[in-house]
Amino acid sequence: MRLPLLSAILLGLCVSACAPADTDRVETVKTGTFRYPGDEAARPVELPEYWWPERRMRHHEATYTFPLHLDRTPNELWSVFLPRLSMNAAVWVNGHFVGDGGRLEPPLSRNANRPLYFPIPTGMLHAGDNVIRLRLVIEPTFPGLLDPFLVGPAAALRPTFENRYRFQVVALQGVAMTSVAVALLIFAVFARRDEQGANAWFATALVLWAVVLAAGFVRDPPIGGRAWEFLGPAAQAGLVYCLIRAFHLRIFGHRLAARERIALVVFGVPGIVTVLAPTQYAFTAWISWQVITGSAVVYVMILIFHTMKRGLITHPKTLAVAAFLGTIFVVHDLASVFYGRPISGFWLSAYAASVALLFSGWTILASLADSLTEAETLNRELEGRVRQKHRELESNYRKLRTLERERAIAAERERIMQDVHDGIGGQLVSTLALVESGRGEPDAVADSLHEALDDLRLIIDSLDPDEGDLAAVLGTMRLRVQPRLERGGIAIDWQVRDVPPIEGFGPEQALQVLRVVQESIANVLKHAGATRVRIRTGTVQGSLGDEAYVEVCDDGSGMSEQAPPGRGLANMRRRAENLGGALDIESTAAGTRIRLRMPLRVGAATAP
Amino acid sequence: MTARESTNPRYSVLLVEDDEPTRAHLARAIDAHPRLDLIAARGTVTEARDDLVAGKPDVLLTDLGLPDGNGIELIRFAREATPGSQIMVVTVFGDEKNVISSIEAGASGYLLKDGTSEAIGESVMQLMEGGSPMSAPIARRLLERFRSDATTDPLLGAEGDSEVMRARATLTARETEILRLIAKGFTFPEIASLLSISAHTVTSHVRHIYEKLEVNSRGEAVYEAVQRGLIRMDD
Repeated sequence: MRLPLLSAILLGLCVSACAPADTDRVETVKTGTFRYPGDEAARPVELPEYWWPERRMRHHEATYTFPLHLDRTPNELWSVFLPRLSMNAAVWVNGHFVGDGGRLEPPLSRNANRPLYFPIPTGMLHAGDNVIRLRLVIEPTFPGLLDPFLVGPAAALRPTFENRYRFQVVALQGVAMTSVAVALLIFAVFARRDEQGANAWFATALVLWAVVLAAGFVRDPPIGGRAWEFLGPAAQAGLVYCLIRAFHLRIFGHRLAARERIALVVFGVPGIVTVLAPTQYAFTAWISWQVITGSAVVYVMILIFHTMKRGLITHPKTLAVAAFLGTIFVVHDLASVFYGRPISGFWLSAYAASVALLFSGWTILASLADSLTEAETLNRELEGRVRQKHRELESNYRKLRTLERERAIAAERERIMQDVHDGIGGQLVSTLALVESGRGEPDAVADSLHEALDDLRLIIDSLDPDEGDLAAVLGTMRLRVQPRLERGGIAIDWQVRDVPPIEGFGPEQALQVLRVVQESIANVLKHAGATRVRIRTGTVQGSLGDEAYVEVCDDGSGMSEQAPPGRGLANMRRRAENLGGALDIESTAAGTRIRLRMPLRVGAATAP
Repeated sequence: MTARESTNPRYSVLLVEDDEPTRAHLARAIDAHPRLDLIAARGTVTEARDDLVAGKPDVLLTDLGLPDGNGIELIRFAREATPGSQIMVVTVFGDEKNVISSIEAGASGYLLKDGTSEAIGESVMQLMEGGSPMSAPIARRLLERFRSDATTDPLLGAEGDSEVMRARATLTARETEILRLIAKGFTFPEIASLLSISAHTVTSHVRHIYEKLEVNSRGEAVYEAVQRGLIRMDD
């Protein structure tokens, strides 16, 4: 809603510029006479006066003479203020030159869009009849024009002139420079990331708009009359074309080549006509060209409406108002063309278009700033979320580890319970039964309790070893078995050597090995009638790959006859299997050898 | 036999054990040994302290978990009050950790509660004759202990320029070898023959290992005290 307010202020300025502040002392000059060069007689004239083309073809200048009656001699500085004329003029008061608007010979200084103001030196005007003479020069291709002008105290007219000058010249210079600046900014910003190119087309439109404006306000152009006049509508045609391209890309994501080619033809052909037109038709062609390109703005309006409908624009309401005002002003200016001068006193479309274009440019940059801010916010949020996720992961990992540890502890506890229950528990139960039966001899009870203790020791020993150290497990065991073997009169040949660490050899595996060895020794004690037992460890290349082995070897009478394979051996084989290994039993009359083999590496057993 | 006995000294023993059947079992075993005299069998730290000071026994046999205190404290006390006493810890199997703590406090041996009477008497005698027992699991733990001492010491850090560090004992190659063999289950005589040294040498090596453990434990205590400002090194 800022735009309508801005427009109202601009219009207010325009009105205030139209009317001098101190009207009763200001004389409006309208009536006089004029002569073409070489004319004998003067002809009467009533301002405003418009030079139609056939007149421009015949005459390129005229001298106007206006009478000015003053009641008394001005005692302060007076001035003459010419709000609008075309193309240039020089002014004399009572035969004294007071000023001109620049070059009066081709190429003329262009004052079609700028007010002229000349102070009248004190003493030139006096009470009674005064004469104001004015020489007007025109371009044959451009309408000659002279509006009524004002003579009055400088104090009253100067502010009026200055307002009008600011409005007509300074403001548009500012807009032109701002347009270029915004365009450069857009170019710079989007050079790397404008995938569609829409913003580049829009920035080009802004530059062309600056050219359109410059064609209006530059007084002494670097190139001559007709070529310079061509520049304005050409830039306008280019501008509309760029806008069409920009909006096509913005709305559809790609160009609409067919429509754009039509636009090129529609805009280009009148341009060629304008260049080639004979002088008397040049202005008509020029105006027609502008009307055509100006009318194409209607298509741009439709496109703008599309973007609004699709929510592609950040401030649709403001743009809608700008477009609406723009349409009115354009219609106003187009209508004014046929009067030869603006109906309201000002060409307005420049302002509306400026506001609309600059607003759009600003919107593009603002949306960029917004998306940068958004990106930063997103980045921060993302960082926050990443940190959050990291924390969650860490916490999950900790929980998982705790769970794993708890599970491992639970599994181990379960295993120990099972071992205690199967081993010492069973032995204690049978001991108790022995005692309760009343038939338990003290020696038998003691033996039974010893067995229970041995099993308890076994379990404790199995919990102790270094991971994978078979020799250490057996070393601990020796202390337990030695006394019983000695009591049985059996000598120990201890041949335990270091073996490489066995993969996955923990308490459970240690207990299995210990039970196998204990069972073997128990067999030796019970059945073999041996005098010597050799306990040996080592490594061998066997059916399981690299193997570690434990061997219990006695010099007894062999087991096959006295003790056929029973529960004890079956248990031993089962334990060997649990270890992923194998149990070899060789029994002859010269002794028995039980060898437990285990693969050093897990999975080696699966190899053929 | 009488003549032989007279040439061999007799040793007085103070027994501290709070479990009555165990106390009785141990007391019987010591009493039964021809060269051991039981001067008292106690159940608390307080009583034992008095007997230590009054009786100055050759051997202190103590349990660790006592109703009015810890056996480790009693061992420390005995090292101060009666430096001449040999100290043995009464333990159960699977309690190697406490055995090592006891050795660090100043014990030179341990015996198992459930050993036979003969085994108990023999253990005490071996101790008095300069031998210290060493089981496979204890040997394994000591190897770990000295290995970690040699590499990184959490108390001393990497610099190790202090007197404490220099005083720190490490195992000799032979001692390490002996510990490794014990850990594998070899007996002292077997080790002696494997290494071609006398059984007595093995015994004295083991005794040295005990002493080093105690020295290091003291060094750690001193170092800790210095760190905490309890002792100044230039005193």
